[in-house]
Formats: sequence, C-alpha cells, structure tokens
Amino acid sequence: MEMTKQNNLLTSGQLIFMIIQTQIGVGLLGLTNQVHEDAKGDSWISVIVAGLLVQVFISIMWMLSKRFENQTIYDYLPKVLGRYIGTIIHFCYVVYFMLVASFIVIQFSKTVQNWVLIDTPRWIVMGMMCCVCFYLVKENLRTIARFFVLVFFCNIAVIVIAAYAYIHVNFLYLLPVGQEGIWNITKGVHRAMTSFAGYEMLLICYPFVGGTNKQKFKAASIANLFTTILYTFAVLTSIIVFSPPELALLPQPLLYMVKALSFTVIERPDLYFLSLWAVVAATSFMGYTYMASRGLANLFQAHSSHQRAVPYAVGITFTLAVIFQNPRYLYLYQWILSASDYIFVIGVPIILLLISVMLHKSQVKERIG
Amino acid sequence: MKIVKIILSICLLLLTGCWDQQMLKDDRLAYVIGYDLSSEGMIQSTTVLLKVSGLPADKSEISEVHTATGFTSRHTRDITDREVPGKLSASKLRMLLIGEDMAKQGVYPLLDVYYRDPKSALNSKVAIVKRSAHDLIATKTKSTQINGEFNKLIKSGEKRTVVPTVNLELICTHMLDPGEDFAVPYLTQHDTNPVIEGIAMFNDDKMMGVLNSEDSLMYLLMKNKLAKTASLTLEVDKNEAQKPYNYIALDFQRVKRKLNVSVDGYKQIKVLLDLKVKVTAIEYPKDHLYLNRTLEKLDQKLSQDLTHKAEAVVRQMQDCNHDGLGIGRRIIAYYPNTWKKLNWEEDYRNIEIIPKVTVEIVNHGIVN
Amino acid sequence: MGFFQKMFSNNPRKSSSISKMPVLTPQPLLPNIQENINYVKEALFHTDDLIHQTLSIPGYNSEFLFLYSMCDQKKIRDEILKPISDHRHLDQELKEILIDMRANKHDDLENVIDLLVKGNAVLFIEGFTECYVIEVRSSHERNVAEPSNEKTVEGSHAGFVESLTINLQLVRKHIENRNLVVRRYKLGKQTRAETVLIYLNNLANPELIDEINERLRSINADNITSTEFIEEYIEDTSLSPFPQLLHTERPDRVIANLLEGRAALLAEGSPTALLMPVTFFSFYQSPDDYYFRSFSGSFIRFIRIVSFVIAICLPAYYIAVVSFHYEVIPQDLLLPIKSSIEHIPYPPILEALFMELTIELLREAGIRLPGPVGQTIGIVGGLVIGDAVIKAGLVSNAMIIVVALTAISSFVVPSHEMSSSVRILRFPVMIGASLFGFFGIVYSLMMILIHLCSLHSFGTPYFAPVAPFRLKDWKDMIIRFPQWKLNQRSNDPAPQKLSQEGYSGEGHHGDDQAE
Repeated sequence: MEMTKQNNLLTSGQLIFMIIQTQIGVGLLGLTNQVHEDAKGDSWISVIVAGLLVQVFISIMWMLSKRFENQTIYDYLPKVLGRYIGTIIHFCYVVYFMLVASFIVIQFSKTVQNWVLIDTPRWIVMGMMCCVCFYLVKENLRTIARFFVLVFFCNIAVIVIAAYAYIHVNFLYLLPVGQEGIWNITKGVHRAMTSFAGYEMLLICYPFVGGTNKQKFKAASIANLFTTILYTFAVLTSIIVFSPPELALLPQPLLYMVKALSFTVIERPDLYFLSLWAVVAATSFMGYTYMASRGLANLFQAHSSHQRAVPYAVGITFTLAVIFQNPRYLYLYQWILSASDYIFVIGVPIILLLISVMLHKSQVKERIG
Repeated sequence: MKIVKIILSICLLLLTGCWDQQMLKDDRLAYVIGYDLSSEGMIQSTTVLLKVSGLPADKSEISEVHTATGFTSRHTRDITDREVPGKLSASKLRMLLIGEDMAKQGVYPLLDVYYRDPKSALNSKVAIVKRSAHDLIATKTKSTQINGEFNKLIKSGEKRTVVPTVNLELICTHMLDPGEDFAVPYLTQHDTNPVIEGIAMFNDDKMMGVLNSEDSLMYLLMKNKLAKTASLTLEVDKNEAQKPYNYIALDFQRVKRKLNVSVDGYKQIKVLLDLKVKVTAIEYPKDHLYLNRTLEKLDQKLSQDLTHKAEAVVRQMQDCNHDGLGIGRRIIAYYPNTWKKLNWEEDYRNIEIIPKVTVEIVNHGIVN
Repeated sequence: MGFFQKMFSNNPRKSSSISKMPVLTPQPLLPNIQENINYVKEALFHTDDLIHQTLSIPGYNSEFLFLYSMCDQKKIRDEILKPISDHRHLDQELKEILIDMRANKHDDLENVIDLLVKGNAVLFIEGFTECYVIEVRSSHERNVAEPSNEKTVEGSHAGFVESLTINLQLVRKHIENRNLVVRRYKLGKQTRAETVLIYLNNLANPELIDEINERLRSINADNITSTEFIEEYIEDTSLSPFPQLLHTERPDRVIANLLEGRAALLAEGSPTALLMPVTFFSFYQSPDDYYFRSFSGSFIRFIRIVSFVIAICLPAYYIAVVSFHYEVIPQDLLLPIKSSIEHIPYPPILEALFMELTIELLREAGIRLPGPVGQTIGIVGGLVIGDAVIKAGLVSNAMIIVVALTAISSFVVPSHEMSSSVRILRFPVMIGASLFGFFGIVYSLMMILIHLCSLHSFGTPYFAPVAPFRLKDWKDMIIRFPQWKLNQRSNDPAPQKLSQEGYSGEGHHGDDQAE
C-alpha cells in the first residue's frame, strides 16, 4: 500500500546519499597511491581541484537534467540525438556502467585477496558481492536509497578509524606546497577523476527525486562536497603519516597506517576498516548496477521497471569481472575506463546540453523531436 | 529440479570455507624473534613461541625456543616451521630483537617480510641487542618462560623517556626517508636479565652508534618526545664530604622546544635548538629549595650542565651521521632548493647545531 | 526462491475468490412448538448436549431449549425458572414475566439456532409467532491479571483475558473518547470467530484502516481461532524472520499504540491483541520505558538495542576472531583465550552450534515443564552441563561465556516473537563468519539490513525511523525524551495529525521561579 503518491519519490536528502555512496567506493583506498604517483606531496591539491572540476560537471548535468525534468538520460537520449544514434549511445552507457561495476568488483576482490582472504578464490568473493548487490538492487529505488542512507555511517566510521593515525604525523611532509608543479598536479587531477566518478547518478535519478530543481542541485553539490572532503582527508592523512618514499611503496596507505595501531580492546584495526570498506565498496557497486539495469530495462522497453533487468545486469557484470580479473588486463581496463569516464560522464552530457539548447529541445517541446 | 539446485548451491557455499581459516587453537605463535648474523654471513633466527598451558596440570615453566639459520628472515622462518608442531605464525609478534652485527649491516632486508606480509604484527617492538640476540634469549629462557618480559621492559623504558616509542611501522617511515633517521632501544645482558642500555642510532637502515640511557633521555627531550615521566640525576656540587649531598634528581615536567633551521648562502646551515624545561626536584638532600637564591643558582647551574650534555649528544649524533632531529626534513620543507644541492650523507656532519637548555625548577616536592 | 513461491503461492490477497460468508435463508417460526423443536434438533444434528425442558407457565404450553455445555445452570435457575415460580400465584401478565427474564423476541429460526450455539436459551410458547431468547451463557473468565510474558515493574498490571467484551472494556475504560471505533468481523467459515478492529477515528490513517479492512475481508479460510492465526493472513511478508505485527496482552500497550494512530485487532477467545502497523523498534519498547524516568528509560532502551546487536553478532564475531582473525585479539587477552581453546577438538563453529542447540533445548524444556521443574531443568542444564562440558574438554570457557551472553541478550527483547527471530537470525551470521570471517559477518549483516529496509508493515517502512531516516522520531526510539518534549507522534503509522501536545514544559520553569 502506498500512502501517497509523493512517497514514490526520493527526497533530495536521499539523493545526497545516493550520490555519495556511489562516488565513494574502491577508490577510497587506492586513490592516494594513484594520485601520489604524479602529484607526490601535492596530491591533496589535486584531489581538491578534482572535486571542484566535478562540481562543474555536476552543474552541467544538472542543467541538462533540468531541461528534461521527468526523464532519465535514457529517455531523452533518442529524443535529442535521434533514434539510432541515441540507442547506440544508450547501449554504450549500459556497457560503460557494467564495465565500471565489474571494475569495482575486480578491485575489491583484489584488495580483499591481498589483505585478508588470501587463499579464497576470487570468484567467490566476487560472487558474494554480486549476491548482496542483486538482493538490494532488485528492490525499488526507495529501498536502495534507504539502505544507502543507513550505511552512510560506515564512511564516518572509516574517518574515525583513520583519525587515530594522527598520533604519529609529520606535517612537514606537506611542505613545500606546490613542489611538484602545475603539470604534475594536473596529472594527479586526471588520476583522481576516476575515483570521483559516480555523480552520473544524477542523470539517472533526477526524475525520481522530489523537490525543486534547486534542491536537487544543492543535494548533488553537498554530496560532492562530502566526497571531496573525505578524499582530501584520506589523501592528506596518508601524506603526513608516511614519508614520501614509503608512500610510493604502499598501494593502500589508509589501511597500512591503521594496521600498526593497537588499543586496549582491539588490535589490527585494518581488519575492521576493511570490513566497513567492504560495505562502502558494495554500495558503490550497487549504485552502478542500478544505473546499468535501469538502462538495460529501458533499452528493451521504455519506462519499464529496472527490477526485471537486475539479474541480467548482475550476471553480465559478474562474468566480466571473472574474465578480466587477470592483472594483465587490469591496466588496459583501467585505461579504457578513465578514457570512457570523460566521454560518458562529461562529453555526452555537454553535447546533449549544447544540442538541446541550440535546437530548443526540452521536455515541453519533446514531441517535435 | 529447483530444490536440487538450491541444495547444491548451499552445499557448495558450505564447502567453500576453510581456505583462509587459521585456527587460533592450531597455530603456534612466535612471541619474540631474534636475528643475528651467523658466521658465514647467513641469518640466524631465534624464535620464542608463546607458552600456552592448555591444561592446568601442565606446568612446565620453560618456553619453547627454536633456532634456525638461513639466507633471509623468511627462509629462517620456513626452517623453523619445519621444527615446530603446528603452523608457525608471526602475526602476534611482540618483540623483534636484532643483534648488533646484523644491525650494522642494515635491517631493511631483514624486515621486508614483515612489511610485505598482510598478517604481520607491525606494532611489534624492535630493539638492538649488544652482541647476540640469541644469547640474550637463550639465557633468559633457561630460567623462566618468556611471554611479555621484553615487551614490558621496553614499554616501561618508553614511559620513563629512556627509549623512543617505536614499532616496526614507525621506524619504516624514517628508514626510507632521507631527511630523518630513527633510533631504537639498545639492550644488553645483566646476569640473565635483559637491561636497557640506551638507544641505537641508525642512519638509513644501518646502525651507527649507541647513546647511553642518560644521553638518550637528553636525545628524546631534544626531539620533544617527553613521555609520562623522565628523571635524571645530576651532579651539582663537588665539595660535600658525603657523596649524596652533591647530587640533585630532576623530574622533567614540561619541555618546550624551538628548532630553528637557517640556511645562509651555500651549505651554511645553522640549527638553533632552544629547549625550555620545567622540572621538579625529586631528590635534593641539601634542601633550601624554597629560597629564591638557591633556586636561581641551581637553575643556572642545571641549565649549563644540560646544555653541555646536549652538545655532547649532538656531537655523537653527528659523528654517527644520525639525523634524529629531522633537520633534513626541515630543509626539504623550507629550503627545497638548498636540499637539491646538498649531499646529506656528507653534509650533515658539518652543519652547525647549537643547543641551548634553560631549566626552571617549578616544584620541589612536599618538603621545603 | 521459485520453490518457496510455489510452496507459498496461496497468497490470500492474490486469490481470486474473495470469501463470501454463507448466507442463510431466514426460516420463519413454525406454528407448532414440537415442529420448532424438531427443526432445531435437525439443524444441530441431534447433538446430545441439547436439552429441552417443559416450563410450567400457567395458561401457556411452553418449552425451552439450551445447550447445557454452553449454559450456566445457575443462570437458568435465576433468570428463567425463578421469575416463573415467583409469579406463579400472582395472576400476572406473561409479558412481565418475560421482561423479568430479560428475553428478546426473535422470529427467524436460523438466527435462533446461531444464538443457541452461543449459549442462549430459547423459549418457545405455543401459539406465539415469536420465540424468546434468554442469555444464560456460562463464562469462566480469568482475572485480568498481569500477563506472565510481559511483566513490567511499574504501571498498570492489568492484562487481557479470553473474553472480547472484557478486553474491549479494558480499552474503552482508558480512552473515553467518542473517536474510538470498533469494527466487527466474523472470520473463518467454520469458526466464525468474532474479531474486532479498534482504532481512533481522528488519528488512524484512513488508508491504513481501508487496507486492514481489505486484508481481513480477503481471508478465505475455514479455521480462524485466535489473533495469531489472523496475523499470518494479513501481514505483508510472511517469508521474513521479522514479525510485522506486534503481539501484546497488555491493555496499556494497546492504548498507547492506539493513541499513536495505530490499529489493534482483538478476537474472542484470545488474550493477544495485534497492533499494526509497527516498526522494528516497536518490539524493543516496553511500557516500562514510559513509567521510568526519562534517563533510566533511555538507558534501558539503549541496552535493548545493544542486546540485539550482541545477540546477532557476538557468537559470529567470536567465531570469526578465533578461526580467521586472531590478530585482532589484544596481546594481554591472547594467552587466556588461546589456553582455553588449545585442546578443544572441534572447530569453533561446531562448538557454537552445539552450545546454542543445548541452550535452545534447555529453554524449550523449561517452558514445557511445570513451573518449579522448569526452573530445576534450567539450573541443572545451565550449571551441570556447562561445567561438565568444559571439564570434558568439548567446549571452551570462552565459548560458554559467549553463548551465555548471547542467550541472555536474546531474552532481553520485550517481545517474544522478536526474541525468537533474533535467535534464528544469528545462525546464518555464524555460518557466514565461519566461512569468510569478518567478511561473512559483514555480508550477512548487509543482507539483514537490506531485508529490513525493504520490509513494510501495512505500507509503513519497517525500519523507520532509521531507514528512511527521520531524526525527529529518534526522540522516542533508542532514547526516550521526557514526555513534555515528545511534541509529535512518531511518523511511521502516518497519523492524521502529528502534533500530540502543545508546549508542556512550562512546569519546569515555573518551579525555578517559585523559589
């Protein structure tokens, strides 16, 4: 029984968490190492710049979504670009989301295998992740959003655990600021962008969120603000805890720095940290799977429920993950993703926006298209 | 058909476990590991296992000790594992002892396995042993079982500001850092017991020298690492007939450190180390500490003495090429261009470090 | 899941035939007494507890019928025989005698038979076109004593009994409000159990009432004997470990919930009321919380929520720690734990299952046995088995502590159904822990949380106010704010008006100034 029609929509508050949980995921652990490769002690600047850049992209997406207030990107793609090109891009989006989702699973299982479940076959870890994901995504969007809000506390707990590392820090590692020069910082920004991905949820969720356009923009911005703060915190903490040569050796500095902490009641907080992070990574995966299955459902039947497409989306993602888990493919995979990230998250929305502005296409006049 | 599938998948799931199971009850836990350089340049390891008395009747007092010689520390662990009934695990290691000869050769290759293994205990304490770690462990275990003895010793040293608070992880970050060096506790043997002799100073991953326990206190104060308590007995007079009247014992209450690194032109590096300490006189048989005159005189005398002590410590540090104060890191941070021109390994010895200690007695206990 | 769907496909809401109560054609009274009696006897298949007696009312040929199993002999004497004998010598009108008997006129035999089955006596008088029905039902009611499974320290000690009338009275007595509505249902084609739905008309959401009404009407079953039977027909998700309707035998709990805009279901013959819609946290609240001071009330509630976490996670956590991640045991605790499990032959999961099973057996045995014996079993089982099992080296000390703590925690829950759900839920978590360590725990907890997020109880989210998050309702969830702070009702039953009090904190400031 639905009490009122309004209840079918997410609140803009829930949108914040939808975006945060999709953005923050496997990147949380690996981000520092990735960015540090180029930007060294200035990595935190790169992360902040990346956050600002993402804010710009969010604005673009918002402007686009505002024009088609009651439609997902899948709905208005064919209307703006024509049926054939639209369907092709639509298909590409679905593939892209699935690739990202399987990349998350691969990264996740790799980290878990390195740190805890050393002998457990990768496909089992992946399978567990996919099962949990399937179990949630087959529910309606409201349930997904509720769950995302609920597990948000994991992020806070992650911060709290990491904050203990401040017992032994050396702020001198940050100095001199700007040591690596603009070029290296820019390269760092590029590397950080992949970890920020997930705000494209805005393109898909937009019509399902209640509230004014302004509220939605605010929600997306708050989400991005939080992600930027969390990432900056993670990177900054890692930089001031480890000396630069050591940091270069550590793929997951956040984990490494809590590994040596010991308290009266517990030791090895990294194991707890990993368990919480598993939830964070899972929500990110769920977010992408949701986007993929919504796309998949729309591909075959417009406006249909995403729920029926979930088994296929999860199944394909799992298969992709199992096939490409080999570290040799992983580099290529990563390269493809960071390139397509720009295309699908930034490129296509800008083009869509330009075309729709030039041709005065929006929801009101949709019939012309 | 569906039921069969479900049952099959449940069975599959239940069978999957056990890959990563490591039962606490089956594993043998290494509690203390010592590494020495053996005669042929190989590594000799001495492993003390955690003594577990499962049944109350089992009351043998002596810990199990295994010795093995191998090429690397991992190799020795594998060899030890062959001797030990049950799987040997170093994931609850509490104390890592390294013989002096080994330490002088460099410790990174020895510790790499600990840094690489996800299960290793990075919070384990590290100490250097004068002569041989094996002898220290062997004599101790002959008489009693070792469970936390070494660890407790080091921990109380840390609390008394005798040794720096370090563990495997904390030394790693300085070991790799060109701009700062680390020091670890240095143990010797007194009868059958281990004793804290002072600290062993490192340059990169090689041990370069030793500071005795009183100098190490000064060293830690200069690093601004005052722990819970720190007490020091100093000679302030030479003329009294009865010896104890010549001495004062201080307890350091608070330390304020100013470390100022300045670079004038090419390689002219000058470090001003200004220490302001507030102390309690915890032992001073001569009394009269309530008089301002006495206090002022003592303050002055103590400041002088401690400044001399500090200078001596600095000299030793520079001789050992041990940049424990992290001066290099400051140069990187504040004078990055100068740093690029420096060859820190060579130039550190030649920089000018000027310590200055100012003592103020703020408390003299409950008698005047 | 297809298997389960098939097994449980008999979903009452999906089934096409909404039950139609069998409609009886009215049967007018027959002119002859004997014919009437025969008709009744035929209709009741000559059941042997049907008694018919001749009454000696002067001037009238009359007979009366009753089911002796349902009737109180004393009442028959007092209400039927006595008025007649009182009036024998006086030449009184029959009418007055009937008034004395408090008899009701009826002219439909079918209806009369139904009444007969309920414990009424029927008086047939020759030549009359109506018969008279006199209520002589025997009733054996318990006292309205405090229910043994929902004891509170303070507050009302009344409890529901098996009589619907008394139960309704208990509720009405406290809510003397014209908005209290009672809706009557007859459920079960065979049992025709009298069931009532009560709610406050100005508070309960009309959509909620419609929904409940719909679900009750769609029950198409032969046997409904008590409220617990109804529960499974009307709850949202039967295949869930979590109870979605709150059982209670306490009138004060029912009243409090009615005043929050919920509805309650009571049935004849059942002392249990069903409250709906409820959230997960309703099961962790007890009337005691409100009788205590705000601080102690909040503390107790907090303890209960902690008990939920302990009951589900503790054994799993212990298993994960000793068989996967013993690195997390602090150094000083390592030696005691290791020495306690060193010589145990079984893996921790088996140890745990064995002990949990023992505790469940003890619990079940304790309930079934009469009072004092039950306690003895508890002591014998708990102390003797526990001690012997350790001495024999089957189970470790640490495991006994863990299992005992878990068992105690699972009994802290004020609601019995939730307590059993919690006890069941910890097994999958334990198995998860024994397969994948912490990851197993995290994944099973995630599954449980997802399930909680997706559950609904009559349209309201089950896990409110945590998911969906609503901070205002936390005032009366894990912590209990002082009454004068609870300005709004909780939002989850979607009451018609949220505000339940104006500013009532004036008293506090008044005290300050009076000094």
